[in-house]
Amino acid sequence: MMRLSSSRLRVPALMLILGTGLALAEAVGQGWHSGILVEGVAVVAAIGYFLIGGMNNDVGAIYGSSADERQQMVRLRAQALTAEVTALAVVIGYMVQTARQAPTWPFAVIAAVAAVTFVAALAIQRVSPRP
Amino acid sequence: MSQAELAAALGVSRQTVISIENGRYLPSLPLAFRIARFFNVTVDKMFNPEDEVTET
Repeated sequence: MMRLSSSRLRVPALMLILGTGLALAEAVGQGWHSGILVEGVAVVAAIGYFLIGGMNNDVGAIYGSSADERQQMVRLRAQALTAEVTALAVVIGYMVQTARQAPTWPFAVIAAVAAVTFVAALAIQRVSPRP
Repeated sequence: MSQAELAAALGVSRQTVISIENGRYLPSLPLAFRIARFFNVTVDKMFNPEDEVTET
């Protein structure tokens, strides 16, 4: 069963916007064939995300914007695990690039953004360093 | 009363009602109060702390 809410469009719309940006970058750097391919993938991914968000189950609620407290907690834990695995991948990528004597700055930038975001998130959540 | 009707009354999904029934999810305090109020019992009667419940 499908449910439709305007907030359900938010993530697919963002995917489409970012995908279009990536497609433009591809078109400029690799040629328009590549750009069209990336845009196609972005459109399919956004439509897929939207359709999954309409399913009447936990996954649908988590992908859509109708999650209750348990589903929100599941989503939060999944996001936390995703962030931890991504951080690990960044560290491994940095090590591999260092061993290859290749540029490490993209991994350093991602790690710096993650570190600053974590500290900012603690501040936003009003976590005080004082006992 | 069906799980779907209870879920609608509590403002949560049917899957969450099932998870609470099976002891796989501990509800938040506000939801616990809503459930207790719905069944017209106290929270401690509804959720016996002696029971072993594993939160997921």
